[in-house]
Amino acid sequence: MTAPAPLILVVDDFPDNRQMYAEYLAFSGLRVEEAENGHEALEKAFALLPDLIVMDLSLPGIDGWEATRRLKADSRTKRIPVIALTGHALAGHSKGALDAGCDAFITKPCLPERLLEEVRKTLATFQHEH
Amino acid sequence: MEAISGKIVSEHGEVTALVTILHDRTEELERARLYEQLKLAADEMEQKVREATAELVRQNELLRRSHIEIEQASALKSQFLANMSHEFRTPLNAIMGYTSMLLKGVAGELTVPQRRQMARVDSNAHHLLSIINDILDISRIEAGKMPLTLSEFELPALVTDVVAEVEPLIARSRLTVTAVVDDGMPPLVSDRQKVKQIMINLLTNALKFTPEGSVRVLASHSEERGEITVAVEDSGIGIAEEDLEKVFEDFRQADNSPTREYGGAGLGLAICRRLAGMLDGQLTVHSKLGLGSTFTLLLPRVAREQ
Repeated sequence: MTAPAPLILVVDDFPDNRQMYAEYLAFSGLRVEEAENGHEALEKAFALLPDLIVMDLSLPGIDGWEATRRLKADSRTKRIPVIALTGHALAGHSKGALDAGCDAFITKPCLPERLLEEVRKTLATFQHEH
Repeated sequence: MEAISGKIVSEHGEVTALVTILHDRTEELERARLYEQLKLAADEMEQKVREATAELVRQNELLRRSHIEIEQASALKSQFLANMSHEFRTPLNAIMGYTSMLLKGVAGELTVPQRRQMARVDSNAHHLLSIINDILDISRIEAGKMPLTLSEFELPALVTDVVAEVEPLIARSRLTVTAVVDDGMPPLVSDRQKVKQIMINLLTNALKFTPEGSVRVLASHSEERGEITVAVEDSGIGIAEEDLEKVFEDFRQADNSPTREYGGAGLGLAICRRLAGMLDGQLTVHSKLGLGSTFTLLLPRVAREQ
């Protein structure tokens, strides 16, 4: 029996972008779950324990930085790699994301294939480490 | 006139003489009058100086206030541009992403005309993104939020990179593009990404404004001055003398009229000149209308740390 495909949690409040990434990752053979805000992201992360989280940083309520900090502070989820996504190209955002514990950082616009590449690279690094 | 009279009387009481001294006071009166006038004038002058000083203080204050207002307006403008560029990028992300997915056949194979039409959407979305990125660059530079990353790199390899990146445009242009790099170029310490951005901009401009002929990229160095020069020379439409400096202004082309022939936001050279300045370099132009232009980027071999 082959292992199930890695489960990716895509968090973005803008549905067009979230569904686009989800659709492309699923098309590329990954399993995908979606969350539209920080609250839902935390709930699903604890319930599903995905293999990787794609986290938009500007979210209503609990933002991406705060959600990442909480995930990285919890023993159940701290080993799940987080790829931060942001539309803000100003310097400072990437540093803040890495400080919060994000493992990679991508600036939008980010084509779905570019995200897939980063997801595969990060998964490979983490499988190698753990 | 003042007159003083006196009698001279003898021992016997006889008047022997009458003396009248006539004293001319004209001069004295005149002096007094002048003095009075002078005093008036001095008072008037003092009053005027006082008023002028007060006016100057008032004007200074106005200047100081308008300076602050201008700075605030400029900061607001930069912030606005940065916000707008973010607002533009979010929907553009979806446009470019779905276009790319359609072209990849995620929703099924496309017919040939569908593919051609989606490719047009794709290239225009990329063009729009480059304009938005230019606006963001200008606002970052103006807000002092454009960090430099200095490293050591080889210029010949960068020239090759730049030409390779612009290759699709070169192929479409039917122009002869050559790169001539000096032998023995020393490595450069600068911001590779920014130098590349400047070179790509100069080269794409040269291609854009050259209907026929050739474009040459010439890289040279001066050992004694510790300088590197990259010149992009074209046989294109050229720039009139009076427009030479205008091409470096924000949102500006030599022909800025609504009926101008060449598109573009007119930000490329403005960004390039600012970037060159950040790298302690210079960007200059020599051109003759109808005979082509040469844009020259001069950089110190080693850029200063910020």
